[in-house]
Amino acid sequence: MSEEKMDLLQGTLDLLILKALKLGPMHGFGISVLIRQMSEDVLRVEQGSLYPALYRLERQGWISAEWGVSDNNRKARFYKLTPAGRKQLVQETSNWERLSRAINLIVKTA
Amino acid sequence: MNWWQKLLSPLLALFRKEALDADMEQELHSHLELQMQANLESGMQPKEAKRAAACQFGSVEAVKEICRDQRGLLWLEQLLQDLRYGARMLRKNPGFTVGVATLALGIGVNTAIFSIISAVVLQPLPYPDSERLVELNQSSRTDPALAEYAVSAPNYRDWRALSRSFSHVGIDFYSDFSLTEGEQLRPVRGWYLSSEVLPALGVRPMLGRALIEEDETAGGVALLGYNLWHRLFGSETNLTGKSIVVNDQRVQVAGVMPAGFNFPAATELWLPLPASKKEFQDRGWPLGHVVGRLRPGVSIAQAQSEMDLIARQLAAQYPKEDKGIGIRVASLHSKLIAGVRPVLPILFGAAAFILLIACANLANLLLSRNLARQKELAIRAAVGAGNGRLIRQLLAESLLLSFLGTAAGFIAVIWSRSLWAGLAGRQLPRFAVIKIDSTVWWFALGVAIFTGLLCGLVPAWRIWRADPHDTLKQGGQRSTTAGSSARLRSGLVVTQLALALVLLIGAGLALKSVYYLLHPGLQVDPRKVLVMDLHLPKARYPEDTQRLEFFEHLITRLQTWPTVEAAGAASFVAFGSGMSMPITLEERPEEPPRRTFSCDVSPDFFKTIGVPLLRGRELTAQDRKGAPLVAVINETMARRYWPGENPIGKRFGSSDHWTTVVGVVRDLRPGGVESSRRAEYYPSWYQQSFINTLVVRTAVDPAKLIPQIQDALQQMDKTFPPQDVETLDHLLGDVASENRTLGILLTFFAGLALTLAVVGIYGVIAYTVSQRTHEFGVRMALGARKADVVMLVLKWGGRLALIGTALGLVLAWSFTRVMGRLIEGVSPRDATIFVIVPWVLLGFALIGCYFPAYRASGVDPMSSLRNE
Repeated sequence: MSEEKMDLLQGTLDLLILKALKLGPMHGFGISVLIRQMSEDVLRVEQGSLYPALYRLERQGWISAEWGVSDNNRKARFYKLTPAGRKQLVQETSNWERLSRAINLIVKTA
Repeated sequence: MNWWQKLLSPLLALFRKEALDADMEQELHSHLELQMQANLESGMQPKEAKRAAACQFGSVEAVKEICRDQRGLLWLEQLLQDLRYGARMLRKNPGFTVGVATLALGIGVNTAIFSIISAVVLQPLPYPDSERLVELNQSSRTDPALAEYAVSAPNYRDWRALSRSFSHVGIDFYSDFSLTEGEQLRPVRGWYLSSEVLPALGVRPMLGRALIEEDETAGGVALLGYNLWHRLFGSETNLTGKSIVVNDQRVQVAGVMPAGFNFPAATELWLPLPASKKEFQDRGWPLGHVVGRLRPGVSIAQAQSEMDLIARQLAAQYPKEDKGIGIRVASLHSKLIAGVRPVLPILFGAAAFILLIACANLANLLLSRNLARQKELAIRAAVGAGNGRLIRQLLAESLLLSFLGTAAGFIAVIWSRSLWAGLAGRQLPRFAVIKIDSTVWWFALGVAIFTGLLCGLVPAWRIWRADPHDTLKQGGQRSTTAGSSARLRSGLVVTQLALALVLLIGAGLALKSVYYLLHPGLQVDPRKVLVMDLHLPKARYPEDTQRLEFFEHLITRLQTWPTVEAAGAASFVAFGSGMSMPITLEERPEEPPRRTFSCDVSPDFFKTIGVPLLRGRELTAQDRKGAPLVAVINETMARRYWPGENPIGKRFGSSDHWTTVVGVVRDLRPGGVESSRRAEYYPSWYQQSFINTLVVRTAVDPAKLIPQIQDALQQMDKTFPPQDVETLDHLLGDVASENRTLGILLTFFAGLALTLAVVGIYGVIAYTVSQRTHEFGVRMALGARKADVVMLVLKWGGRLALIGTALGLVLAWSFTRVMGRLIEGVSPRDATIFVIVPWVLLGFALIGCYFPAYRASGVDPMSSLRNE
């Protein structure tokens, strides 16, 4: 991932994480795999940005975490959306749509 | 998480650091494992899977670091780390205990002075809503000596009637009373009060009632102080029928004031204003103090403008007495502390200087130690610690030191409180109770932070400017930064010396003033002169002639005793206070009247206290009542009123009574400065007989004479109570007591400052010597003698000391002006002090330099050449 793309992602990483968690609780590794799969292998989130973002979201109260067991019997910390997080997801999604529409308008015109 | 969890989580993160770290570690590792598992499933070999996973993951430590940063309050963690490090440095460098000790001294002194100031200035008076209490005074627009003075009763009554700003306004004045207890008469301090005074203050008697307006016309009642009541009537609470005999009159006890009530000053008795006496009808007779309570919503400024109008009205209505007389309204609190107020800024300034000197010492210590740590700090900077991080470390260390010093100083202050608070308390107004309350704690905290930052900023600023590369290249010892550091240290030492000099000069001035007050240059030994205030009760001796007779009789009798060398009497023996009257000169009636102090004296008075006659003659028995009015004047009056002329035979006086000058005596207190001299004249006691004080000069031990005099008094009037006697030098000591306290305090501070400054210069010179031993070795190897090396070091030190002294002189020249009235008789720019004291500083500074100089000369050239 080049530097510029990373910066953009930091702002929208929260959105991606929240969206990923909408599908159900999962651990950090699972979130990174999911994001990669859903973006058709374009977006690869590095651990150096994933975990800080997870901790930040947890401190802000949009996701909550607890220890659990993964499907291959490994101990892992599972995150899930809180009600506040759900509201935040809606907010961030509409923000993103507005933003991307605006950018598209500029880029798409000749 | 809800809001309080969010707030607390950083703090909790701090405390549960290890647990959270472990969690994070585990989470990241489980991620690694999951990744590895996924790699295995996608077909990689185990070893390859593990490596790939590790590569993909990146540095675990870096992630952990980022996450930890995220947890918040990183600065707190770092602060604790710095403090731990600082504490370790402190343990390893015992030299710092000296620095902390000097800081403790400086901070302790400041805290003590601050608590005194807080007690005087910040503490309210012990009355409800005391900020509404004001004092009103008459003020002369023309005569600067009468900027504020007592109010006459008719003026007071008019002010009361005409003004709207006050809910209560009353007048009070002091008088001497004699209380008859059994057979004896006892002098008692008491005040006459108008009925409004107590309501104005908001104080009610503990027993009985306060004074009411009818008491002023009817009389016959009194209020007792708690101690007096207790002494006379024990713990009785019933007032009916209790009465006392005051001034030979029986009065009923109307009420008892609560214990500790002390308005206007330490008092035992309060009587209602005797409205009938003639002084109370005279508009021109300054009677007493007026105290008032402002109505809610009225400010002092508003009251002042109202009273200005009233003053103009009265001046127009009564031009004879009130022309040019204004009214001054001031807060009662400010009036009560007016006596001690001028001293406070000086003490605070002196204490602040000492603190600055101590800080400079500590800063120098930190600087020199940091020079030794140059290399370490440079490495840290090179490895990535930002300047901010390093500076934070230094500040944390200096804050640690300053908090230690503050704690030590604070403990010392509290522990010795009874000592210094007792000393100071004697000079302070009654209501000011010195206590270590929360204001003082906050002050100490503030000072601790301030000194920590100040001391830390000096080396921190150096770090800011330093380039780590240079330091690392040169091995840290003789880096280019050492030059500017040396300049900084010299600058600090010069400042220390300058501040110490200012304090020394201040102390010198104060001490000179005390000397001036204690040694008025009398021609006799003041220890052999007894001064006795005989307050003849007005009841027995209502007429002046009767008092005159009493004294004449007494003195004649005393003069027959072989142990008595001379005896005389006067209105009072007051080197300083007194009564003043406006007088005009007969020759120049067009000039405005001058307020001049006067004191009635007996013929032998000057002889007794040792004041020489300069011209003309002394008063004699011929200057009786009925003979032309005569007076002796002092030399200042002669010089000011009749400059260049012979005053003998000239006449002066007020309106219709001209007094002729028959003699000139030397000032009671010659010497000193012009501003402390005053014109005085001394009428013959036969003609003006306000006599209260007996003076007796003896050849023997005065203590032996006292009981004999008391006996004689008893024989003359057996109801006469024993009186206060003191020797003249004690009296002079009393007059000088405030100046003496100031002198002692300033000397103590100056001594402290001098010690700290000498320690400072010693430290800097010693350090420089230790840095340059190599150079000394080279010099001595090249032929320099020991004495040359000593001279070299002394020259360094001497240069610093000279600059410091010069700077100090400049500062002192501008600062000592504030001492003004506190140094009676001495000019704030006294030449002797300004010339002599700097040599004291230079001397001590050079002594401080001598020891390192001597050590420098003891360097063995060969060994220092071998070492690098």
